[in-house]
Amino acid sequence: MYQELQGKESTMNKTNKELMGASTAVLILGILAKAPSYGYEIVKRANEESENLFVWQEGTIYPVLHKLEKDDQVHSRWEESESGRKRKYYYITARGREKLREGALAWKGFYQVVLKLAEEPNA
Amino acid sequence: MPDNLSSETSEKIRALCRKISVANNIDEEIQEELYSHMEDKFLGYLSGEEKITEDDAFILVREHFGDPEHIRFLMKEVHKVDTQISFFRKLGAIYIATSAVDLFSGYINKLFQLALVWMFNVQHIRDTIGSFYCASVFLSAIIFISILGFIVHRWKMNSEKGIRNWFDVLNPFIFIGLVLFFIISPAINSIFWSGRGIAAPIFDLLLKSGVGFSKSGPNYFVENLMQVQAYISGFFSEALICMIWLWWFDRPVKRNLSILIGFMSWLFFSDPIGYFLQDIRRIFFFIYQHEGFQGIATQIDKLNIFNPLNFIHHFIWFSIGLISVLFYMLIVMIHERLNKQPKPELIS
Repeated sequence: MYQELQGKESTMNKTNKELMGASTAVLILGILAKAPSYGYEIVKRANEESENLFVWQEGTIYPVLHKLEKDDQVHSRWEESESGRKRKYYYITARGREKLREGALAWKGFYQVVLKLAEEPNA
Repeated sequence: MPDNLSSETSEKIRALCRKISVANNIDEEIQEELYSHMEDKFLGYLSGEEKITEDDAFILVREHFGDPEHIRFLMKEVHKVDTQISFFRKLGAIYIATSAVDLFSGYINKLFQLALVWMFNVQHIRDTIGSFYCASVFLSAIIFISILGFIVHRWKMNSEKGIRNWFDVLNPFIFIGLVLFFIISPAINSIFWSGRGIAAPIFDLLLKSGVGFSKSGPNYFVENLMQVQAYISGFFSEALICMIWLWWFDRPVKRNLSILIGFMSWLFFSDPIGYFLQDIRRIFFFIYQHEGFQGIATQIDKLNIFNPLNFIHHFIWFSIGLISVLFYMLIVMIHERLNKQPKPELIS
């Protein structure tokens, strides 16, 4: 019984990770669409908003941010943060907003299909 | 709540960031960004309600941040073009270092042989030819491995501290010139070339007449012991050179299969070609000397009279340098395949 439960838990974790891996860019763009921000703050906000559904490995956000910047979806500049320290702020671009819209739509569609198919009959 | 990190902690975090080195021209900005992240995180811990020490906070920051090696891999995926340049610089640098140390240990080998000839009479050397030859090979192998290992260790330490190594800042033309010099110098200037210092004794000794295992004669036990020692040290020194190169290229030297492939390729690819070329050298020796085709004893006679031609007899070995470069590039590629990095996981 214990092993069965453990198995279920690990399947759920794996699913969460896979889903999260595919949606990281969309989540970052979503956060930046609300306000320009820097790496630490982005992670903090994502973790808060997710209400412990997931916790990011913080360092891995930077390769994603740099990739988005190379793809012209965000741009960055060093600015003084509220604490008075220099931080690299990321701003979403028009292309980034477009990608965010596309990503959000794709996720919405996926979510609806999952709900429809996963719903148990007579539930 | 503390506003700033202590200088000790700050340096610890900077050292952690330096591990995520991607390419020289962008490292500074990337590392500054990562540092600022960890600084925020650190101060966040220290200002929390739960009291934790600086050491505890450092461990937490590191754990939450993720494995620097993994992040470096992800960064390299994004900045692919930049890292390719550094690969060739790295390859050139290790080739130059290997050749230079090889040259140096080769001279030490020869000087050691000359010293022995000085100290003992020729007949004594002939009686203990195995010890004579093997001891000098063993000595040069130790020197070779130690110096090359030290150099690579120093380069890596410099990189971690953010100090640029000479090959990072050297003009590309001078750099290429240096590589070419070490490839062709033995061919054009044989007088100053002492041959491969380490000279993989495995095939070399096995196939050489007069240096095989002996069943009788003076000191035969010590003779045979020295032979065995030379074969074993030959195997180990070849494997260690492979490992130093792989270590330099940041390839994990963890998989036994990878080490085995590297070692066996070296053994069957490099040494037989070296031995074949050595035979050509012997023919030259025979043509020009008319008496040098009699085996090592004759060469010792020549050493005894300080004939400068003794320094020429390895001049064909230059091709080994080129073969080494090709071989090690092959090994790096095999390692890339065998140790394929896992897909990035963005959450814990």
